[in-house]
Amino acid sequence: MVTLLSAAICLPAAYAFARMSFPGRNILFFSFLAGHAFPKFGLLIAIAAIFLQLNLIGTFWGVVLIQLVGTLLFMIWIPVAAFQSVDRRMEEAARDVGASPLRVFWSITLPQAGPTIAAALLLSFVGTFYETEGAWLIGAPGIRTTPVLMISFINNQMVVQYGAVLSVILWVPSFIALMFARRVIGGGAFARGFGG
Amino acid sequence: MSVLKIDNVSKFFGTTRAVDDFSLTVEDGELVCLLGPSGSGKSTLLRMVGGFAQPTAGSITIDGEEITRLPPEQRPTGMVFQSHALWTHMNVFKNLAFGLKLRKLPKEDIDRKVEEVLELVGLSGYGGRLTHQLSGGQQQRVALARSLVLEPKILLLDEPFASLDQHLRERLREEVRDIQQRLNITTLFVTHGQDEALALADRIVVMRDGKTEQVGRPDIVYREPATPFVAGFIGTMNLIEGDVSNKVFNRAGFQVPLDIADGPVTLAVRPESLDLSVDDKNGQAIVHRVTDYGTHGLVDMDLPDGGRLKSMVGHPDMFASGQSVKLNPTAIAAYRDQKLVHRSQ
Repeated sequence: MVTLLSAAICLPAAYAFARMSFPGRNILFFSFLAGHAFPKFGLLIAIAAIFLQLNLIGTFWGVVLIQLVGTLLFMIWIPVAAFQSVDRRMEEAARDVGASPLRVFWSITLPQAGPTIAAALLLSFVGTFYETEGAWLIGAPGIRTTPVLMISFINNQMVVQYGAVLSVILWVPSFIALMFARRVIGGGAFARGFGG
Repeated sequence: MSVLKIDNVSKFFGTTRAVDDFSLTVEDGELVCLLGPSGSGKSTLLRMVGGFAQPTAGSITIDGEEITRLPPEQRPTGMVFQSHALWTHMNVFKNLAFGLKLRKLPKEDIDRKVEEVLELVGLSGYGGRLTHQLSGGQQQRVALARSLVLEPKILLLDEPFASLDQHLRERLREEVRDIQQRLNITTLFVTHGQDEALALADRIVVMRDGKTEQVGRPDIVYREPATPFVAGFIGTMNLIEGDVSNKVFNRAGFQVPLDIADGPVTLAVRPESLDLSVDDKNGQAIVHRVTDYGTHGLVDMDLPDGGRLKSMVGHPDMFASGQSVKLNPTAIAAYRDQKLVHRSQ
């Protein structure tokens, strides 16, 4: 959910950062680093205070929002580099044969940048899936993600095997994601784009 | 019938004038080369015709129809880029079919047209290949085919052979010329290679600082350069600064009768128009180096004041470094204030 939402928001923004020039572009671009420039837990406490006022503590959307913030760096910075590395002449050649700007983005730019964006999505998914601090602080007590559940099992349950079983189960999604990535993002794909 | 007309087009980047009040008409089926050094504005001009840059002033029409402000996808032009710009995530067939699909042609028509154009560029059966499996020359042929398959009214070629080796470049330019003549397609070709321009063009436009220096048939531009810049840019030319006094040009003892008013002048002599004879007593220059190219030789000489001249000779073995030689120009031109003031026949 978080990864999809992040892609929907960040990819158009990344394209704008890569291809357009607008006032405050650089400051805005570097601002996405800000979330990673401070001790994470301190930042989360500050955000939690804001979320408390907005009645987002203990809600599903509160957890989605806090995890979304964590993906911004991956989902903006990596796709920006991917879009910037797409040869503009390829895009111009597509315009030349009759493609509209939107069609050029869909048929040329996105497939060319695809493998790198897939890597960003993967990093974002794995990062979000195993994120615990934000999910615990904002989600508690109503919303608990699986890793949060696992930690509470390990810390609080007498039977430690519950936690062990859960950690094995948690390993499966990332393993599937990595296998998928291995197939889709084959050697050389970053240079040639999908299908190359 | 496709005529490209560029009328008083200018393009400014800030205060820099990339193209300055440029006008040109390319007639139906004609191949015109824009020739000039880097930064002369030739590529900017081509991009304005293709729709990738907007003129600051002026207008561009094709068959009388104004296209100056149209986006590239709405122009009846086809552009071949220097870097090929093939879509590496598509195979050759998909590269060629992309534009046809956008025009919503039936599948059978697309298959037929792609096969026809592949045959035209000598790549029949290559449709299924991925672009990175092709050689540089084959990639450039695909790039050309991608433009031709859409049957554009005007073909635009932006230094298409610049990334290829010399041998391949010569072969491909002949093929391009054949195809262009067979299809009778109006073509604007940008290059900084004078050989390419001389070999390909019906007409050459020599550009400098965004302006036209000379327009004309390749042989005329070569034999009768209108300015010292054109003289120096097209082919090899000895440009000798000197003074005319009493109808005689003089530069460090190298004297040539020249029937113009007294004053400073630039004498232009092609190496093939500068005969040499060994003369130990009355020599005007000293041979610096002799290069034997097999078919001919090139003799580099120094005037007493250090000025360097070149002469093309039939028998390079007759000359050796250190020899004193007499110079006998057989055809000269003279320029003053950037204008031609004399040409011998």
